[in-house]
Amino acid sequence: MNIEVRQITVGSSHWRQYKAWRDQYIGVNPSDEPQYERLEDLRDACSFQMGFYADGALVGGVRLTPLGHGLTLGESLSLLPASWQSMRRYFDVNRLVVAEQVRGSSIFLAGLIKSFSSVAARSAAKGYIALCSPKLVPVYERVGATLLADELACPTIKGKVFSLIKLDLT
Amino acid sequence: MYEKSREIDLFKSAFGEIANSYRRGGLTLAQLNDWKAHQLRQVLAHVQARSPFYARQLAGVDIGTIGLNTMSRLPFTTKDDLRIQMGNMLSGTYRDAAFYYETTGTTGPATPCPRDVKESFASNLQLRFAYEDVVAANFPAQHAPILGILGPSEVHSFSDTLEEIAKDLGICSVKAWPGSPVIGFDKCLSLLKDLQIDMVATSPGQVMTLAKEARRRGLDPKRDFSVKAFMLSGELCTPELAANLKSIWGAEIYNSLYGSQEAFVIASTTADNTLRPHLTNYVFEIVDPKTGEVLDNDQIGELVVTNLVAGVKPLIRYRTGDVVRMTDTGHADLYRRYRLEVVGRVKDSVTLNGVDYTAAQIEAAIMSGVTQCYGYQIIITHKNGEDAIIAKLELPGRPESELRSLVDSIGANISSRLGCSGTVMGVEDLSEHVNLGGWIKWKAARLIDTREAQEDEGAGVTGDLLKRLNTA
Repeated sequence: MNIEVRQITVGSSHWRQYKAWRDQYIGVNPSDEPQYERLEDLRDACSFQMGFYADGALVGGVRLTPLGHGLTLGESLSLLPASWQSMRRYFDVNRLVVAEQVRGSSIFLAGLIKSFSSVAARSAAKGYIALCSPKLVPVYERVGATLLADELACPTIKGKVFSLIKLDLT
Repeated sequence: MYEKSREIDLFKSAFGEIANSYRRGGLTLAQLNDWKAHQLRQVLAHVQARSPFYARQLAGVDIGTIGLNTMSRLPFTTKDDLRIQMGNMLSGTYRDAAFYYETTGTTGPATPCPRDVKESFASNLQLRFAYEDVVAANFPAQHAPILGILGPSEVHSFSDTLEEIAKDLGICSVKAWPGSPVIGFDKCLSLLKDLQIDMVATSPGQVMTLAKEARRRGLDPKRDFSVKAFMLSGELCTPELAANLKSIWGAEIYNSLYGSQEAFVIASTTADNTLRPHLTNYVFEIVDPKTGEVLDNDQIGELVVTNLVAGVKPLIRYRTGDVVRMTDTGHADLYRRYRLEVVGRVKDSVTLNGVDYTAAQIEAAIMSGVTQCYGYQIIITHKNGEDAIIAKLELPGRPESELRSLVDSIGANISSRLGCSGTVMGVEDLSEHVNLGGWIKWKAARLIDTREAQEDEGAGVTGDLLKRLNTA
């Protein structure tokens, strides 16, 4: 199976498919963020949205949003250390989805690794962070990320916790 | 009817004589000032008698006491006046006009801008001189170029003006705006290619969009087209952006004119790509944009113009909203003596970390050294008391090693020239709306200011645009 990643243009038919998966698998406003609609519009306009393609067909995607501009979930919910605000060459990894029929395959990891490489070249990125569900930590660790904090309580949803991971590019 | 026709003939004869003398370098400063003083008196009497707005605005003003050096005794006309007064601005009725145009209406209500034959003749003649010079500089005498006119036709002066100029110059024109429902990009690109169109009049954004659409169809702008010169208008085009456009098309890039629907063509290009103010058509003043105080003509400030043609919509001391620099080169020939440089629109200025920057400064910082770029967009953000920039540039098919150094260099420019840090993103494909700037507004099309909460009309448009960007 040939796996590649390509940028998805907001508004295109592939973006609409990717957005539908996001809404279906992750949900609309899953962390109950204030001003969610406005923030999502901005995130979509200001992020790299990378589609995962298997043999030419779109099977998933990920959004990479620049840090330090107040756009990311970690910034909007004040979950990140204040010193991170100036890390404008780091990108927040979010809205990672793959279609149900390819789950368990290598696409998830391959798509992520290729996306990191492509975005690094296109933005001179120094690294990535993710505020993710604890169950995704092993996935990120397999691409070289390290766990920085666990059990970060979501201030808007009682009982919800995040893990914070970071990947520095050398 | 006969009276009107006679009036037009008389004006064409008088204006033609002055304008041609000006173009040939035969007009003296004394002759120019006599002409302007005579026209000013005529225009003031005309508007006072025929425009409901100016009848009120100039009530009690003894026109006989107003001269070229006492203009400051007259009140300004502002863009808000145009929006509020609408038809009451006119010095006549729509039936007195030859054309009905409007402002584009994307930054507020569209305002009527009818022109009569005299206004149209005076404005077009100066632009015709500019086209003549550019044609002579770019094409051999035996090669009559074909002019592609790629801008709006309906209730907009763009196409009428250029069609008239092409006809007067004896060259073929092709109206092929891709935004027209009967044209589209397929037809437009076919015409450009098959007719081997040599010159294209359009906006900078459209030049990038055309290239993008050509690439989508497997065409190379340099290899597959014959365009030797772009005559740009409608939108900011800094030297940095012009260099980028040239890298895509291999064509000369001219900022062909400066003007507006309501004030007509105020300045037009020279063959060496500077803007020549139309001295015979206007009284020019430079004022402080904040206080309205009149500045010396060689200082940077907001341009204020008074039309010298007693037509349907002459404007008196009209504040253009544009910051300009008028340079007196000291040349003995009046036609070559003055240069106008448009620094930016007052409303397009942006404050970053407490410092004001013009649109041109921002575009120059982003586009410096950038080639083969098919569009750009700037997002201003604010976090923890600090403004920052996200700059997105459409750089398709670029090798990753090249991209990385380009992105680094743009980031360094943003930091050193705009005093803020930023994230630079090289993307494959920006939204189509970004390059519509020429026909709406630079700020609305290319800039998303996340700090604004619908504070002004520009932000309103930006907000709408953001919605459209994400739902198209």
